[in-house]
Amino acid sequence: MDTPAPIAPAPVPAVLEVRGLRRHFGKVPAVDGVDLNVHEGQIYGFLGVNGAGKTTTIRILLGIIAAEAGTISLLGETTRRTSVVQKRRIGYVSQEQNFYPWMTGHALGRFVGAFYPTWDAAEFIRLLGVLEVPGDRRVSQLSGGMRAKLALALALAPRPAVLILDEPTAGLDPLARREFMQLIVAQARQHRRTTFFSSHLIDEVERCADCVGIIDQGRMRYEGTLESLRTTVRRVRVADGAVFNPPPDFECWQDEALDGLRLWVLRAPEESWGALALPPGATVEAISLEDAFIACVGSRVVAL
Amino acid sequence: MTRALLAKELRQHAFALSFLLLLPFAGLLFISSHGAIQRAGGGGFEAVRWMLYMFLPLACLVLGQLLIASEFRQKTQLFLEGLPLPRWRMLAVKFSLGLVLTLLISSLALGYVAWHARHTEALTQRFVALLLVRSAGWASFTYTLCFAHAFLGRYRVPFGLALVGGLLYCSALGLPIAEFGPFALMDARFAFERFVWPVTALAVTGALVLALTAVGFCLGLVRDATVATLLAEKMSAREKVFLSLLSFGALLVGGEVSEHRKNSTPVQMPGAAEARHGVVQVLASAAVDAPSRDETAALQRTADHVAAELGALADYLGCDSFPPLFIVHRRDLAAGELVYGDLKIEQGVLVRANLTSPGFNAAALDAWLVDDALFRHTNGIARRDSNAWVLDGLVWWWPRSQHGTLSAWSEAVRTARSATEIANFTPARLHGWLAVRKLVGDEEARAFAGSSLAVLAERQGLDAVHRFLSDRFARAQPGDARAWLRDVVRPTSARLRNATGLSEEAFTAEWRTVITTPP
Repeated sequence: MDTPAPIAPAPVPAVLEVRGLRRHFGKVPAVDGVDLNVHEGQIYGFLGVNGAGKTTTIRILLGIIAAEAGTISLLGETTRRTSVVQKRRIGYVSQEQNFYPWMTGHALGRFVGAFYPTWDAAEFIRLLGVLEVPGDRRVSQLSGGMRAKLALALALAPRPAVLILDEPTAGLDPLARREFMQLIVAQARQHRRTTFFSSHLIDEVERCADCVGIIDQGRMRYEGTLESLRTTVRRVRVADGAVFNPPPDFECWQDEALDGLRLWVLRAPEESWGALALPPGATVEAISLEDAFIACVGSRVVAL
Repeated sequence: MTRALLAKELRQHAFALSFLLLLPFAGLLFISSHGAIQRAGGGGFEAVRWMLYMFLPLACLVLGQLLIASEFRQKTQLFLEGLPLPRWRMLAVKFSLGLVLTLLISSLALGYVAWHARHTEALTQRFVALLLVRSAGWASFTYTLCFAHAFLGRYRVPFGLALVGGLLYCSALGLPIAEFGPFALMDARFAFERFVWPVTALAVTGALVLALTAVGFCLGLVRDATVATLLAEKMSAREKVFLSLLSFGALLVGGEVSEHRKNSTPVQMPGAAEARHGVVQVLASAAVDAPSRDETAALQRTADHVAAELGALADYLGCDSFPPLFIVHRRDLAAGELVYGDLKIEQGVLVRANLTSPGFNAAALDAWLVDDALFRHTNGIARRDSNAWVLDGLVWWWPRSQHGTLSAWSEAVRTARSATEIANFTPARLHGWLAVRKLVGDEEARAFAGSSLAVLAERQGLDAVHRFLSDRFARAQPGDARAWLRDVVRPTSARLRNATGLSEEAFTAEWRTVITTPP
């Protein structure tokens, strides 16, 4: 009897696919042809400087504002604008928690629960307990960290298929930030919940995300796993005066002269790096996410 | 979803909404306990009309603020937007709740009064339906207006003021606002009309309600509510300055337009004795059925005298117009008694006196008329605190200078030396002339001010005084902010310097020296 051939692991389906998303505010392109691929169970870090287009992208994903062009495929349904039905399967934590200050945590839970058919009141109470949020206290009496946790409990209680967080740790102190992100990661891993969060804090993304997307001036500059970033984006050091021109399949992210050296940050498929012809004395080194991010979006800043 | 939103709104605004619902009934209860509902006529529905006319717009304004404006101001709409909730439904719930509450207030108020009037009024079905339709039309209009208004964010207050100001202005211009659409529904026929349907008014109101609702929803929904969100931002200093300038400009333009359109009823005095001198017109009439021959003669004599006296003044000042002067003879008045007649400023001057009394003082009448006519001619500017000394001085100086041909120097010095005020007199006292008047009395103040003109005439020449007085009084002033603006830009002190070359300090110093130097 023949041994059956090993079954190749099924590709993880994309829960959220965005193609060519575009939105202007006046003449300013806030989002300019963004593509995203977020797979099931993945924690996706959406990285960009302030004003890069992160919040606009998220508001479009949630259907709060409409895109001028592009499509959104969410949980298998492709639309121009996310519908209310789709939105019921998304948990959302916004950058600022604009809750009604007169409501208590419990009242807020009852109010929000009315909008989700899958709302789990017991889970909400449990989450408040786990997150140590006093549910009988008014929102106006809660600290910024408590409000962020309350927002997380509200977002998780409907047991959403996708959790979207827009800079959820903005305004929190480092300890609260770390604690909050740990909770998100634990939730995502435990329930295999697809999680998409935006941030401009590189260490946060590096610590939590499986996959990273870098957006700059409304355009996606990179999308892939952190591992892929390490293998495809590298720094080349060449002695100043040595002749080196990156091949056409190498995307140049940075090119600067420093202390008698010429530094290049290049992106290319892993196999292309092996075939790269370097001048004598040149070195190739892996770089951190922070260096890659700065190389990717920082050229504009250096030019200033 | 809708139920949750409704519950949230009711819970959030429970106190304010209860207050809005109860307040009109407290008012009606108070009125009814004092029997005013019965006295108001129309079975008490007149009281409801006033309540709806005055109170309901305020209630709607508050509703708009509570339901819409506060949401955008506190940015809690961003929280709602994050929920699986269509934005239009959020607005629709708010709109419907406000409209229902507004209709409830008006209907309950009507119901309350109808219950009161059930034994005294013939409450036919048609009459009740008319009352309901009229009140519902008005309520819907006011609510939809306030609903749309609430989306204007930081421009709510300027827009509201402009709207109220515009309506008052149109009303003052005599435009038939009360006959237009929703206002016609609440006109004087409200409590009495039992048969005729106000079809045109209802159609116009319906169209307005639809249009305002559409405007409200558009403002709330257009460009994913970013317009309403931006409008809800705080006003910048630049915007405040711009709006202030715009308001000021609107006031000026409004004044200009109203002056052109002003249409006060001219005073009619059939059979009055008339006299004219240049731009001055005098009409004298007797407040009796059949004036005697003496009275008729006195009327004509007085008219001729006043026309000559004030005509000369108008010529001297170079006035291009002058308020009409009306004199009414009344036998019942004492000899020196002059009674003020209440006319609009543009209608002219009316004074009542006993012209045939043996002790009748024509000079006192002249002084009165000069004072009041120039007050009206300058639209009150002549009696501003900083200008009043010139008018007082002119009233005293004009007859004594023999129509500006003499300085009246010696009489002025004699009169003013008795004034205790003179030793410490400074320009500041000129600017606060009304206080001086209060201190020394009207006649004393006039003589004192007159002495200043006499001193000017003696030292600077009669021509200088002529130039100064003409500059101050010749031009008729409009009845709006322009008159005030002109006075601020060119105050009396500047006119004095222009005409005589003297600053106020130099003028008061010279005046003080002349008056206090022993003869």
